[in-house]
Amino acid sequence: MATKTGSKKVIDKTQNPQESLQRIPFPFTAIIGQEKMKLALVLNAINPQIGGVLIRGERGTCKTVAVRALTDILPSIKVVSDCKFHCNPDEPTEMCPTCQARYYAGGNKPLPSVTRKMKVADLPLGATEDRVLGTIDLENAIKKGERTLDPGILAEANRGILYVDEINLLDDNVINSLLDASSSKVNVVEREGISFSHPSNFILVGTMDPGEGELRPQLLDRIALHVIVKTISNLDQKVQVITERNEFDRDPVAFTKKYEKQSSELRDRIIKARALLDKVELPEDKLVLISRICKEVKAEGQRPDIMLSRTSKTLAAYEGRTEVTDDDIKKAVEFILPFRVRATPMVESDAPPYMDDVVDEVQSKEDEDKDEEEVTEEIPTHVFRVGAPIQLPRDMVKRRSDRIVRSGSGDRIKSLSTGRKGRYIKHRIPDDIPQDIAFDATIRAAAPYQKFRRESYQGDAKGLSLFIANSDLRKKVRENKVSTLIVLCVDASGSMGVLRRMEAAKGVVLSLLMDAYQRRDKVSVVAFRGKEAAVVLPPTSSVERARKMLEILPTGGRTPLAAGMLMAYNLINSERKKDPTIIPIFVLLTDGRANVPITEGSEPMDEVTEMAKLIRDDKVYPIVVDTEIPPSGGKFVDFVYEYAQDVAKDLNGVYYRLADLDAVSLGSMIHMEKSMAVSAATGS
Amino acid sequence: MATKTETKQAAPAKQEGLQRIPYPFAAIIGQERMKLALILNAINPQIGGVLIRGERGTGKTIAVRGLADVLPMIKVVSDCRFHCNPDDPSEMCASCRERFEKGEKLPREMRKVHIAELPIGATEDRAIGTLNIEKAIKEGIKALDLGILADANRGILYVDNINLLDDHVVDVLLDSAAMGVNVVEREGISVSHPAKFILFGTMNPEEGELRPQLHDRLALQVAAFTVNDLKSRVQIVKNAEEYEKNPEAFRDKYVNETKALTARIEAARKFLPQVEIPTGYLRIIARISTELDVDGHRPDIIVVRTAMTHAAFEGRKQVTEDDLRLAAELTLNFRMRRTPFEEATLGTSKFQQVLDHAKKMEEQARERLAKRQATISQKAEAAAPKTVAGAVKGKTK
Repeated sequence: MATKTGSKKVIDKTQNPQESLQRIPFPFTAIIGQEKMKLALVLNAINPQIGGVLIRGERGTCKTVAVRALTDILPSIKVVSDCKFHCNPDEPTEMCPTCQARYYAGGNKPLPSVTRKMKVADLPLGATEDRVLGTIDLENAIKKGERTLDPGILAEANRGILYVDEINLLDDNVINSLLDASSSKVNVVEREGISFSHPSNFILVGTMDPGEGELRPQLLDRIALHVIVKTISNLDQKVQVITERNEFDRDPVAFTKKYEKQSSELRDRIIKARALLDKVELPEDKLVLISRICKEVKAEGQRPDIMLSRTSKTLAAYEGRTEVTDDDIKKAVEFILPFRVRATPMVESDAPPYMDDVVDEVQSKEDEDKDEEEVTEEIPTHVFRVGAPIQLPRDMVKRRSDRIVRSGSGDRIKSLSTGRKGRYIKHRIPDDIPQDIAFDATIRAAAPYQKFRRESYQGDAKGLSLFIANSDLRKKVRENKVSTLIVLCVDASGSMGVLRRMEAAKGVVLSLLMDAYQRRDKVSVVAFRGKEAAVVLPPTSSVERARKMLEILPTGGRTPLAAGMLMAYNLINSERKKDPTIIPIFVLLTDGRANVPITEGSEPMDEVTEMAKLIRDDKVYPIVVDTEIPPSGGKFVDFVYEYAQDVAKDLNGVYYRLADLDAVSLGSMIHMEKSMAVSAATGS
Repeated sequence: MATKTETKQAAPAKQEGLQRIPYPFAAIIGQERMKLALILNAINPQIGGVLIRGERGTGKTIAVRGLADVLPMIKVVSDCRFHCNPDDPSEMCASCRERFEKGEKLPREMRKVHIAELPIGATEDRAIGTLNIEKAIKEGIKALDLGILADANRGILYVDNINLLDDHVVDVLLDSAAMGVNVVEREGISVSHPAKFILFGTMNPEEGELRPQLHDRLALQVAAFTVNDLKSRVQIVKNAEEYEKNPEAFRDKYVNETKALTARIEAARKFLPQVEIPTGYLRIIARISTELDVDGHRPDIIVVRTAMTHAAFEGRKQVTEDDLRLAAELTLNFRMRRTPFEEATLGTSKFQQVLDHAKKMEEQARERLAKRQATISQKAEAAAPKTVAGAVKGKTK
């Protein structure tokens, strides 16, 4: 893409500013601290087969700087000079079809090439599938009537680094396309009349702030090394960071020179390690150790084993050894396993310190099998079983369709859709040059002018049978059914254990999940108990994950209701960042008796009211299910608190009693629907 | 626009695809069920597809892509885009049939069964075909650009991460899977062509469920698990490293196994028409699916076909109980799932129980029938002297 500098560009492509500006990157060796992150990046530079790095950490921990700097210490590569895919001129099996044909036609001689540094291709968050995969080159199509591929970011990333900042916020469709390319190293484009495949072999480097949501499991699995970066707390180092940065900003050239010696040393070390890598041995007993570790921690799939062996070999090569040691494996385990081990919800699993022990332990015990129980509980908890599902009131979760254009698919609400998805319902005159052209309408629009244009066009264009001008272009309008995001905010405090409320509540959650499954909605569960709230189920449409989570969700502790609401609110907003058009539905299951505030010293119930107002003003459709079950089970008029009803009022949401919901399944559906209609009318 | 009204079919702008050497099927360790399900489909396309469900990193995708090497050969019209069968006019595309009916001898050749892959990012128009704009603009001809469904005719259509496929593409798939014909009605083009394919899908249930209609279209369903036995784990790592280092050498290492498997599949394919299923077994199958509360009749038919194919693969002329149990397991396991929250995978032993139960019930039913017949014939015999003996005998038989 960067090679194309034609002035007559029909489509304004999202160009990468860094590429064209040729800025000097901050020297890799000048980065202070963050040794693990640097090591992970270097390992990938030595052996791209490892499969990428995921950097977890807050903003401003020099993640991006390190990735950009990486190109500086990477050995240069030879690329075919005029190839869009930066093919390797010597290796026909790694070439794109065009280069391959040229190579064989030219008698198997290497193609003309240039030597240059590896490049970092950026995948911005807002990138569309078209930009990532590549699509038809509309300029060529319209002006010359030729069908050619307009290569996407995956083409640009071939034989380089694909860098995704905030990878956890990436659009699902884009992730899907990434998944296949990252493992097969080939990008298959089957779009808009283009059928093309080209090599796409890249090192995937992603960064994410875990506070903004987890990564999809499938993608998490594909990225080999996971590192956590933290803000440096050492004061001296902090000062050093600032002075270094200042110095660099003042005179980047001089600064880079200062570090040139270190950089070239590292570069040499990488080149040496690359050469050594093939000779590194992984003895049988070490292989067995690796497999034993993976088995022990119940890592999913065979990928961890393979990644472990590759990483430990690379580590050995980096150290200049040809034999893998236990230490290498230990280091590799820390990079690979922590995030592949299934965590129990509401039990902390941030930086697992026991990884070190796992290796030692597996080593020490050979055949004896002893079960190791983890003890992390400090409050008495109880795991209730999932209650029987109930029949939900019809249209409990429902919204009207509007005119906002959305991407994604589902079965809840009809919506106009973006991108290439959905049924082509009509066409219209676009505001600018469209990507999604309605050819039939365009041709019809161009028809009246053909005679005139035939006479006025000059040169090559005269040979065409059809003359199209920009003003003829028509855009497709598509319609798609979309789904909603249901965020269930579940009270898992001790009071929910009374009268087996939790069991019933889990039943309701289950029913909502089943309903969501049928409409292919996304569901997320936030639970709160003790002192804090946690996202126990990140937005997913997998019932499998949801069920597993429900089964093990514990109950016990106090009620930090406001914290739970805040967590749900944040979750909705971070999902909004991914897709601003999602339809969020907020379901709160609680008895409303908050007794733990977010900020110490303030009144818990006041905070709840504040939160409720915040959510109410945020175009979220709220539903409150009151889990307070009257002692008599609703048969008589009981004295009940109905704190939750107040919350519902503050939220301006629909209010249900758990007891009533149970009654629904017993036949009083009509009553429920009426009360719902009333509350809906008075409510939103 | 100087439109010629005739609708021509043009080849799409298909450049020579990138040919990567797939990981050899024979080198996959463990996952026997999954491999068997794929092989059975290679032998008998009538079974109608496989869905592989499993955790990430369990070799699902590798297995399907590797299958290409062991697939059997079929006879095709060499210059037909749809890989038509040169001897069977009922399955031909319009142009082949025309030529056939004119008495033309269709050029033919043997080709491996083709796996067409539908990437998740594919747009609807690439799946079914669309207006060829190159022809439209340059030559003013309304021509159809064939889609992936045309490519998949008489072959396999493989969708990785099938549960993530866009709904509109799924609709298109379902339509042509049901009819065996792809109808293109878009942008002023109206064409139909044969699109008979078997659907292979792989998915990770953690990423979301499959649409029920699609679920039903995939005949066999198997689960892929993480191989946990230590020796296999080590071997898997070794194989992966070796393959990554030099795919070509790795493939050559397994060339004998690959050839042997291909030959076995070819032999089973030829042998299949001779395989017989005892009629009593059909009743048992019907009983099993009633017992397990499976929707529709499709599963019964698939069980029969799968059992027969497995017998052929094992080189047996008669379907045995083992074939039956295996077929039931592959077919029914995921079909009994009534609600998405019931974990409904039964193990082999459970299926044996169900089978035994069905057999017992069948035996009892037969006994009852025999008893009833006996009493009837006793009565008849008792009454025989008074009536015409022959007529009664005929009735009770």
